[in-house]
Amino acid sequence: MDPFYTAVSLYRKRNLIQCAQVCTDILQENGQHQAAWILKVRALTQRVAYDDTEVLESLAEATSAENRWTKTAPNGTSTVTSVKTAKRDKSTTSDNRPPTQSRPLSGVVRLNHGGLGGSHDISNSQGTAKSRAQTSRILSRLGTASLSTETESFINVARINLAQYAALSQLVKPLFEYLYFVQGDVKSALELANQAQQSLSILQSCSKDEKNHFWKCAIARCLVRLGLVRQIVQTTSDWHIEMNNTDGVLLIAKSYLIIDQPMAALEIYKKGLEKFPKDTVILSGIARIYEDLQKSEDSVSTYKEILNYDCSNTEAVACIAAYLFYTGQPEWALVLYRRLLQMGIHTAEVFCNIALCCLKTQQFDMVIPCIENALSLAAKDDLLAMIWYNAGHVGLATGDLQLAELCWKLTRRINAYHCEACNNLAVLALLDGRKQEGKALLLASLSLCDDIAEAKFNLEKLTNQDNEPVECLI
Amino acid sequence: MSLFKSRDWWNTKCGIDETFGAFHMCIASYENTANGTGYLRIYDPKAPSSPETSCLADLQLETQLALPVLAVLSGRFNNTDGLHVAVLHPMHLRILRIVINENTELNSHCTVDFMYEHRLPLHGYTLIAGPSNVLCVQSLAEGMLMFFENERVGVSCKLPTLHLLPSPICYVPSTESFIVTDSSWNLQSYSYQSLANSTIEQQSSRTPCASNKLLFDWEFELGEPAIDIQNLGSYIVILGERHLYCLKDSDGTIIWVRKLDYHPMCFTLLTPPDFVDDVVILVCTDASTLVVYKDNIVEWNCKLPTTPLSIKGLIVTLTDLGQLNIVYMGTQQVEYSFLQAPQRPINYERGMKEVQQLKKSLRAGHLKELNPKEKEKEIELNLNLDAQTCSEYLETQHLAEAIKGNLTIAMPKNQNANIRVFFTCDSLIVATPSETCLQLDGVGQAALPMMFHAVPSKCGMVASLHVEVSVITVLAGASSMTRQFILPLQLVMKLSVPVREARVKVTLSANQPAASLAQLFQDFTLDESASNLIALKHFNGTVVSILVSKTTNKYRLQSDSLAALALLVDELQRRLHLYFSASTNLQMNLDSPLPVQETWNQIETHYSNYVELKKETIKLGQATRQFQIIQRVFHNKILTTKTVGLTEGIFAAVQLAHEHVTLSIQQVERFQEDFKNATQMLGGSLKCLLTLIKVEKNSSDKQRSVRLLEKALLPVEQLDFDQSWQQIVESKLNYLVRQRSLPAAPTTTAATSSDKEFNLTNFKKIFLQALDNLKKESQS
Repeated sequence: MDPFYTAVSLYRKRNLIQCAQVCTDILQENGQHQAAWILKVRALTQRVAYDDTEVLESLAEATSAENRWTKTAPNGTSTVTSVKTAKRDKSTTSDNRPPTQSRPLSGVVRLNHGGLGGSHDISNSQGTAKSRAQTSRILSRLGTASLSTETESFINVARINLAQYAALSQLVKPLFEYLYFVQGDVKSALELANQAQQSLSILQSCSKDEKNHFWKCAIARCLVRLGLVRQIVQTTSDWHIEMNNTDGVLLIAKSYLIIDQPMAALEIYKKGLEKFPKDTVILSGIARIYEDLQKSEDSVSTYKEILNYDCSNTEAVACIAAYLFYTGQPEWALVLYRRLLQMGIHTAEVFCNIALCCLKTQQFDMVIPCIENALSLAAKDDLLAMIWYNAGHVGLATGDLQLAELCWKLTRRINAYHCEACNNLAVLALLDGRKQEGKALLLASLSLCDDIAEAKFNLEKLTNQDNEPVECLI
Repeated sequence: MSLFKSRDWWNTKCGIDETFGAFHMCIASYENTANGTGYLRIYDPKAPSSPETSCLADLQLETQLALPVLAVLSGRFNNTDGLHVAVLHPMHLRILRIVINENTELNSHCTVDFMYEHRLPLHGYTLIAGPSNVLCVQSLAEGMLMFFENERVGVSCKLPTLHLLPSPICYVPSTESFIVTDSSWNLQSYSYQSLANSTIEQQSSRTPCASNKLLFDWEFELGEPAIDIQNLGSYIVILGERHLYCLKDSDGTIIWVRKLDYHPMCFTLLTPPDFVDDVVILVCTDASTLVVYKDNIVEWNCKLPTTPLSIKGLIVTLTDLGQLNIVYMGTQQVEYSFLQAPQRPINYERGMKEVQQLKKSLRAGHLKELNPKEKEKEIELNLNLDAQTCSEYLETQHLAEAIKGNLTIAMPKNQNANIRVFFTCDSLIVATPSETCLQLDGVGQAALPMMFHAVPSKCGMVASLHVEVSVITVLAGASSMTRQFILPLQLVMKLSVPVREARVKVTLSANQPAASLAQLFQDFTLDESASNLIALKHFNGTVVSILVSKTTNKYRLQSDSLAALALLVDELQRRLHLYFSASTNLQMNLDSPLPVQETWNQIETHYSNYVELKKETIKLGQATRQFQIIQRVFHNKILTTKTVGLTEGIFAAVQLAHEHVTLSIQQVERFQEDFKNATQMLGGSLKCLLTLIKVEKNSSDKQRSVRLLEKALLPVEQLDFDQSWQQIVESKLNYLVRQRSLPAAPTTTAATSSDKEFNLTNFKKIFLQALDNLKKESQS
């Protein structure tokens, strides 16, 4: 049996390391075996490939200052300033929702503004992890694909003549993906893509309509990764709509989001929806943008539409559940979180949320076991600190102030920058009569986080009680 | 552990240690599986009657074929009866006939008849059935399709596009075409007719080369390699590595495309019973889940027991290790229960006791840290300084008089610790180094060479010679200790000629006989004649004369400015205390009135300087803004007009504005200088005033109020400029005065709001009142 057959069947079974090994053996015997080379390239790429239309964590993309086009965006059109505007005109009392702190990529993470001196009713709610099906993907950072040392000697980019490879249409696409995902060498990948597109256009110069959008998409990917988003955005052709899959639409929308133009991204998404109706990925993009612009009803209705098409979409379920929780329907939120449990997502965040929902719906017997579960499942420190913080609120709701104080002290112990816990400890101290401690904690809380309205309110009230400028003396 | 799990109906394990591939299973009325080492097995699955009976009993046939098997396919490939199985070996294609004899006995007898075989020119990869008894084999490399019909000699044709890796291939009966993908990830459809034509051509030319006339019917850009292609009804469904495409079979237009967020392994198509026109797609992922799609909507999602490589029919799955499962979708009760902590019977009493104990230790631990006195005993600081100054070159290449010395630190409890040392002294004295890190040696000691020098300044005078040394230990229980030392007077003052007339005079008296000045100021070389009268000069030239009157035990200090006196009043007191040892109860009194007026003069000068500086700074701001505007206009003009002559007027304006700005800057600098001097003078005067007040107050509670006043008035230097020192101090003094007078009389509108305009006369009132209160206290 031909060893190449073994390699191909290993690749089909996704035994990628073994497949690469067999291909290496074949290549050692016969260095010109193009098929084995391609298979090895594909196997190495498949190990570390990720969905780059979603992840927004590359340093080059997210923080480049030149990617901000307008410094002063009109209301409701920028995600950066939208948080502040939401705080300024908080007209309805039901809209007491704390701002999200991170993208709902994996559900939702929210923080608490639990000042007792201020509003009573805000509790914390935590996000959920991705479903198991999604976690099978491996995320790779820029150029840190740590495979065996053999891969570093496999393709030496400096010695490849990219122009030569660009002309070989059977080799160039896998090579591009290898450079982009495995080696993280985005500049070479971009160069290769440019040259491939050139040679392709020479070949196809007679054909009327361009059906080949792969290279346009590839170039766009590289530019986004390098942070040169303007070039993408300034092209006017609609190649991303004409593509056969939604990758183009997602990439262009992502570039608009990088330069903080959510309305333009929304337009792109909507055009994509015309071509690919019922596409849940585009719909979840739209829902996230609405969420960032603080339009929660639109966001929730989009998530509901997603659920029509894919009833097990964890992000949609989690976001709707959080929305229901904050708008005063904890029973429905509980139903949705139980659905998440049924789907097999047993994480600390889900259990913490369930505990809070039970608290609100007065099912007190379930609260403590859920919190204990959450604590035992929590791996990261931040998560643990948040769970203890919520446990403090449980103590508060049941009137056990000592429990609340201990829990919040634990929160501060685990996460020294937790301003809400400081604020709550301050209120407890003030209730107890320990004014100095309370004041110190309030000031500490304000210094940790400038925006926290409850701490400011508490501090004002405190200084007004004393009726004098206390700070100048003692 | 999801609720949605697939329920097992039937499963078995095929063979031991055998490997299976994606094409190794097919379903006829029975099931056939073959494997990589050449075993062909036929199963006839029945519902297991009880859980214990092994499903192996349903194995109908197990036979070993001589060669490894690549793929297996069942159907009718011949015109003879019976079940035909086509088996693809690496270089052969064999057609077998299976005959099953049903016996009334337990076993049914199954025979395999070998019908015929073809030899393959190239190594094969997959096998699909084409139209009417034609079998098509795809080769492993080079993209050749080989066709075999019945027992006729096979023909092969090479596909035109480059096929490095073998691609999935599918036959669409409605258009009689084959669908393949090539190495540049495009999907092409070739009709059987054109393939047949091209094979005829190739046969005639005898060399397997790509025919020029073989064109595809339609092409579709995939953008990624395809895992599998299947066809049902009028749909072609392609499973790519990241997307699922559903196309129309006639011309390849998109019906829908779906992005997958998992890695798919295999899929199959079904027709739902109610909707004959639709197609239902079942996709298996590598996380062992099965996702069911109908028309781009996810209908169901459940977890499979294994990660299958091949799925057919109504969920028969085969994994690569031979696990064959027949499952149906359903739900299963989640047996997940809450993680039970080891159940201990809760003993409430013991629990409460433990809680109390923990609380006690928490509280105790809390207080333990605030015990400074103990900490103070742990450290010994000694600053040994030379008595004489010496000349030293500073970093700025100036010569300065400096005092050198050594700082020794002994902390016996913290050996080998890292500590940081800070020096704080008057603004005109510089300590070198002012902060540093040291490491204590094994015994807990360290020595640091030090140098102090005074910064020469035109108007500033040193007001105090105290040096604060702070030591911070960088340990788990970080603590800090501070000690004060006094620098020698020679650092800042020199002997000089006494001056008879002076503006400011202060008289102190002691209850001890007057000491000789020569003895008091022994560090200065004095002769006996100066026992009554000495004069010392600050670096900026102000002379302070000290006179002693032996008869009345009074000491008089006089100078031209109150600030100059600050240092010497302090020094004189200190030396007197040293001279008369502690056994004699030395008490000093202030005989002259407090120099309040002089202080007030300083405050007024300071305030006027401040006001002027502020005005000038605002003017500077305006001038610069004006300059900017004119510059911008000039810039625009230059860009728009071509002739230089038209711009001369603007240019003159630019120059004028520039001069304006420069002038303004100079003014501001001047006023800044003045302000700085005034600040220093004011600081000195206030220090002197406070020292004099302290002379009188010796009891502790009065000292507290003096200290409060001191904290309110000092320091005069401030970082920001928005409020003057006077405004700040006014509010502080207001508080002090109100606090004092609260028990006496209720205050009405004594709280000055910050909106009111600052009025110097108001300030004077408050200032004098504060001092009066102090006096009243001392008298009461």
